[in-house]
Amino acid sequence: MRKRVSRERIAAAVLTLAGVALAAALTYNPRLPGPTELVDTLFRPVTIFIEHISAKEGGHLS
Amino acid sequence: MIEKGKISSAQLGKMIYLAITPTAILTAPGISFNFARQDLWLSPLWAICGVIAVPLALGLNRLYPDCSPVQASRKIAGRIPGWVFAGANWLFYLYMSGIILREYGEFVVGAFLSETPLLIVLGSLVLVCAFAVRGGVEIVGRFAGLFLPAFLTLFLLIVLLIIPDLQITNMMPILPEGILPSLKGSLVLQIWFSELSIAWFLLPYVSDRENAKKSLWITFGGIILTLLLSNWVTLLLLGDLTGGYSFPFLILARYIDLAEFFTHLEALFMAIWVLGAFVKICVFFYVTVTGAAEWMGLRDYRPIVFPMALLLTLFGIWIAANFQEMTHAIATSLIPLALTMFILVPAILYAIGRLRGQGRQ
Repeated sequence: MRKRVSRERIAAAVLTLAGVALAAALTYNPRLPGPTELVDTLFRPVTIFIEHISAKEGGHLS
Repeated sequence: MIEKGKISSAQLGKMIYLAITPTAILTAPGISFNFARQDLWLSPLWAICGVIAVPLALGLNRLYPDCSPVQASRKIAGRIPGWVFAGANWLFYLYMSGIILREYGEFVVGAFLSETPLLIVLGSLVLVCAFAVRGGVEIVGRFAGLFLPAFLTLFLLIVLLIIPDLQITNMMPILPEGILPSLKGSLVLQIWFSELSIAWFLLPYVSDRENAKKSLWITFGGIILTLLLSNWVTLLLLGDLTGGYSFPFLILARYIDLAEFFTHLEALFMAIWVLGAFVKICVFFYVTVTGAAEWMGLRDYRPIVFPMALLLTLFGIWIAANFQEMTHAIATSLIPLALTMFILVPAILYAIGRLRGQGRQ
């Protein structure tokens, strides 16, 4: 039981520290590459295709 | 399972309805219009992902009816693939919650509280959501039940009051280039329809599981009807201008002027939006927190609600530098991401489960 409780405390502490670190990083560099850039890189070919068909129809997006 | 609470299948339907429609009404018409033009009104009918997501969520739940998705994926795919899936999944839900939160924040700051810093708007909603999520799935379910009538009444009131200003010529010519433009317009809507597979995360808590199927299909129908209605009135009022506005439905609410008595109804829309976004963020945040807690092997998810709320607020800011960048991400890279994580990965899990002959007693 004691071990379980401490595991939750560790998880909460790690998440809080991650949050504080992220907050500090964003304060120093608000344009820090984030998850959106990661997703964009991961799905690059599909994204280009979607941009292509939307540009043909409207062209407002990019 | 990490959660002891129970919800009814009706509450499940209400939660999912409110977890999908609010942002779909708000941002989807503007994005869809750039693909579909005057065929915008037809786009919500091409709800292909919803037709896949509902049976998929029900089927996955049938494999392991009383296991949460984290436990189920571990049983289906094995320890390590299940661990990878669960980890990727809660990060994905955190990202989705961040996007939803940012949409809410940009709307509130852009349309109403223009002097308030974005951080305050995001932080205050996350704080309220964190309290609700700490209360458990029952509390979120009851909020959905409480807010749905208000949401629907205000939505229908706006639609009703705008009828005198609608111009049917705005949807002419009907389907000049066949159905292809409306299909392209429905591409971005697939994000919202694929969100129906979030039902998999809530189904284990449903007490009357036999009604869940009916409830989910009714919810799905309700979502299509709501989107058809909102896209249709937006198009009939704004016509070619629809694509030029970030929040076309807000313009609609502002436009209402009945006998110079009913004016400035955007306050109503604000009410709809805050109620809806609250439930939407609660549902996504709840899935994130419980998923993360189970992935880390915790016995209780409550200790990590507030640390996660801090992360969510930061994600809301980190996601994009400004509103245009976020809309661009929604219209492009979010589509394949949502389809992968909401549809493709669960479908693969389901296929593996069935091939291994699981879920038969």
